[in-house]
Amino acid sequence: MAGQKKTLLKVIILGDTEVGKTSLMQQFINGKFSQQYKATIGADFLPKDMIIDDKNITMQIWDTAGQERFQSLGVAFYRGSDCCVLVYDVTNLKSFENLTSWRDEFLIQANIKDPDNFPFIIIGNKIDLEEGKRLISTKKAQALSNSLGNLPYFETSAKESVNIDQAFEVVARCALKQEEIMEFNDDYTDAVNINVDDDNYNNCAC
Amino acid sequence: MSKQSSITPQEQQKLLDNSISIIKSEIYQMRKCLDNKHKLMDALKHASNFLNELRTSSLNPKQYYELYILIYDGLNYLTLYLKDNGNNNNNNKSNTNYLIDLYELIQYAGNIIPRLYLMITIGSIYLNNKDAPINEVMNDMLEMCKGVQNPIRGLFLRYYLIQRTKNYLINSASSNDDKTTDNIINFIINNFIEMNKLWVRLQFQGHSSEREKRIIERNELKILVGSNLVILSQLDSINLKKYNELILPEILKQIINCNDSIAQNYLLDVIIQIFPDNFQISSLKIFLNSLLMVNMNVNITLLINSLIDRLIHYKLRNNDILNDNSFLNEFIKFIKKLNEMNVEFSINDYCLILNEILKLSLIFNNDDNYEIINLIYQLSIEKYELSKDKKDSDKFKIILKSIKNFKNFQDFLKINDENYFKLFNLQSMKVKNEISNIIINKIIENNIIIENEDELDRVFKYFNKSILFKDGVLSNEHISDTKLDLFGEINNKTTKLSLDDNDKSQKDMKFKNNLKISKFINFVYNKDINIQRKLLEKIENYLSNGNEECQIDIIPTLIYKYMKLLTDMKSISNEEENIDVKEMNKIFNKISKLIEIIKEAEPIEAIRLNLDNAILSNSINLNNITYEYFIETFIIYEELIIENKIQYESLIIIINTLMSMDNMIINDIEEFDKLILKATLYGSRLMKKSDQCRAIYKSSHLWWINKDSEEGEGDDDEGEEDTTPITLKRDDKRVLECLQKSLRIADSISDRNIAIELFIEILNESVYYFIHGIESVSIRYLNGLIELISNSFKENGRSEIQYGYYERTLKYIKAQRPIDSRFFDIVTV
Repeated sequence: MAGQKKTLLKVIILGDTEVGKTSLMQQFINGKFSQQYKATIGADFLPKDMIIDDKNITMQIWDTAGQERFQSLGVAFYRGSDCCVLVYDVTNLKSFENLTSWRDEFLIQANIKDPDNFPFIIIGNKIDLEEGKRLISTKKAQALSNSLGNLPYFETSAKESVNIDQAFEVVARCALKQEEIMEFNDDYTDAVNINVDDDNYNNCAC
Repeated sequence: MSKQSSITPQEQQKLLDNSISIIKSEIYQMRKCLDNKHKLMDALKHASNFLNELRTSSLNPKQYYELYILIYDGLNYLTLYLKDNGNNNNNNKSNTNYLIDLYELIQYAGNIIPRLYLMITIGSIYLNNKDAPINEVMNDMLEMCKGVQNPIRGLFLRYYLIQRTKNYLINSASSNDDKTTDNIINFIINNFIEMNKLWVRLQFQGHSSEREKRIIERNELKILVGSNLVILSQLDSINLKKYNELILPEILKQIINCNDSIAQNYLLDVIIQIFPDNFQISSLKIFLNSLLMVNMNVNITLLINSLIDRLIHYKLRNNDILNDNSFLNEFIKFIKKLNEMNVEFSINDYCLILNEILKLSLIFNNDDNYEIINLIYQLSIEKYELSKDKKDSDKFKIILKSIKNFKNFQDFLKINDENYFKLFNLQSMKVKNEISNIIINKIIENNIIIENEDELDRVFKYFNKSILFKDGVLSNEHISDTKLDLFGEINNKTTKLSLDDNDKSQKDMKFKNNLKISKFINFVYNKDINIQRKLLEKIENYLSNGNEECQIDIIPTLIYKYMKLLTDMKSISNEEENIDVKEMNKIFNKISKLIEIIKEAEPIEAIRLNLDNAILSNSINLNNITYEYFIETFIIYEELIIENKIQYESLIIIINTLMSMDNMIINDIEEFDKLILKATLYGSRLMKKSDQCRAIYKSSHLWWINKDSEEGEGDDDEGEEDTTPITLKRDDKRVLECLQKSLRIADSISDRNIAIELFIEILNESVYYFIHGIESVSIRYLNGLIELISNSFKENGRSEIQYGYYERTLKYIKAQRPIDSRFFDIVTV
């Protein structure tokens, strides 16, 4: 009767405004693409169940607001992530240049213990747009991925569903690997000892 | 409860760290219990323990959010467990019962915060069950949440409700019937209304001295309230009708009624950002109407800006979809009403809004676009008329600058510009000049040819009131003062220098403007010479009413345009073999009058123009006119050219021009002789002897003029040998006289080096005449010159430069011997 234990993975998608973060997530999870642009407000996630190497996993994919004004409560939700997806728009140079600062910001805010080994994945989106509009070559993006520590790099089109599943499968594998390392290191154990004596909350404060 | 204010940031951080470690530890223990299936009750106990940490009142919103996120992640494990437990249970019924039992059991939890979080956790799993009494559960959860009235705790609790139920809401709204959808919409709107109330109420909590702090906190919390609207925007089954009739009016009603500027600023912006483009357009009327009812501290301008930016993006992305521009009228109605309701509404903001509407209108190509644009100009004028401060007019500058964004600038020459022109006239001279410059730049940039009188009138209408204007602010008295003595005195340059920087920069400005107009004039063209003539006469007329500096700077360009016209007339009449001498004469007369206007200010330019026209009239064989141009040149030379260097340079140009007067020589030699005699005499009257000498030997060529034969069209290859020149004029005696005279002058120069140099130059001229067979310049004459030069070198020593020149001349002579045996007789040792 009892099935295998399900593993919960947390993935964060970051990148400048209008690079297509929400579209990537929607395409991956619902297989849908909308021409309509809707800004993302705050942070929001969608779950996706997958099987990776016979393991049942639920991937919680957090879509975030690219515009700072819609991130008023800060980015506490970065914490506990197992993988971070950095997205840029291949026709928008600024969005590419900002990748490094998104990564650095993530490492600081998520309080990552071992930044050198935390899994990031780079996605260059909107490759469906005509060749003339493209500003960042594969070579250039590859070079950046290499310089940031041989990060996996994908070129996708959320609109035409190109390379989405491939990219997210790698995301899931990286996240799973990271989660296993975390389980092994188990950073809760210190705290446990302090609070074994529980049961001190009984009176209502409301 | 309001102990919060006395807590230091350090203490807060400590509390936060403590809570975090408790939560982490309790989550860890909960997970251990869940892994061991029989310990669900213990797991719930641990969950309740970490949820207790959310009861705090001591943290700020961002810190509270940190705890919330940790707890949210923790409750995910619980959710996953409960869901799995259900899925593994084959009997659906018993799963339902299991959840109902659990839902009931949770009600007995001691504290309200853990109780409600757990209730929502279980309830939202329950909602996914087919047999669940969905409406009851949903209503129950909504009702129970009312139990928490502390703003921060309440907002996060309700945020949890909407986050947990989100998947159910989105999925069932897309798959179910209309009634379910309506229920879901109501559920979300209900939660939104409650959250907005909590959020607004936070403003009035605590001591009034903490107002600023409250504002900061509220701004941080805003995304929680907005999340309800985000989920509404994600419901696929919502169509335009539902949005316009149910959702938007309900949300707007709430936003307006709370009369809170922070809430209004944020939530209205969220509506603009998250609902689809076509929704924005179809709901424009409702949305704009509510903007008229907001709190006076709401930044309407920013919201309109945000909305219009969105619509512009929409149009640019989907040019084919959005063709109907009738919604623009909603904006017009809006701004009209806004002005009626609030006469004091700031002119700055009013203009910014109008400008946004203009920007949006201009990306459409529709025929009625310009009506709307015209209306906007009219509204600008009306607003200005309400203002008491006349200086406000400059604020409308951005509206006038809108013409920059015309898709097709040609339109500017055609549209009804009555209102635009009125608005233009209200501006200061500086702004008017700026606008005129934009007009010119756009014409040049877009390569727009002005080809009829209406278009020309349109453009000059603006110039007349600005850059051409006689008493423009820029031409202050200082400048006109110096103008009076500018040309009467030799040292006018020093007078110019004494102007202060301000005047100078103003003068530079004017010059730049005039340069622009000159450029513009080059874009006036119609290939029909009669129309083109009318166009030029119109420009002339406009200029004659303009300020003097303008005339002086621009007239040369106009003259060249007239000359081009004459050239065109000539080529046409060549074809028709019928030269309209009378009309051409008239135009030449016009040109003469124009030169007359500028000659005092720009005598050198005037000479050049006269000579160019002499060349032109000579080519048309209008010898009288050619003669007059020379006479006019001579008058300017005598009266207005004072500096000796310039005299010399001008004279050389005059001599060179005279040499090319072939038609005049052929047809009117007497008049020509008068002219060349005069020119030669001018040479002898120059101040410096070296200039005299050079001018005179150059004049010698005026008595001996050849013209290259014009035949040889057929035989290109042998063309070189065929060009034996036709002699137009040959007066050996005069040539020799000139050479002799220049030689005497050279000899009289006391600086021998200069004298020798001039001797060599004369030798070179003489060799030229010798080659061309002028008898008076004989071998004996050349030998005499060579002897004179070599003797002079002996007496004065060999200056390197002059001697080198001499040697090259001798070398040339020797090189002629194989071709012309006469050269053997020239002594070159």
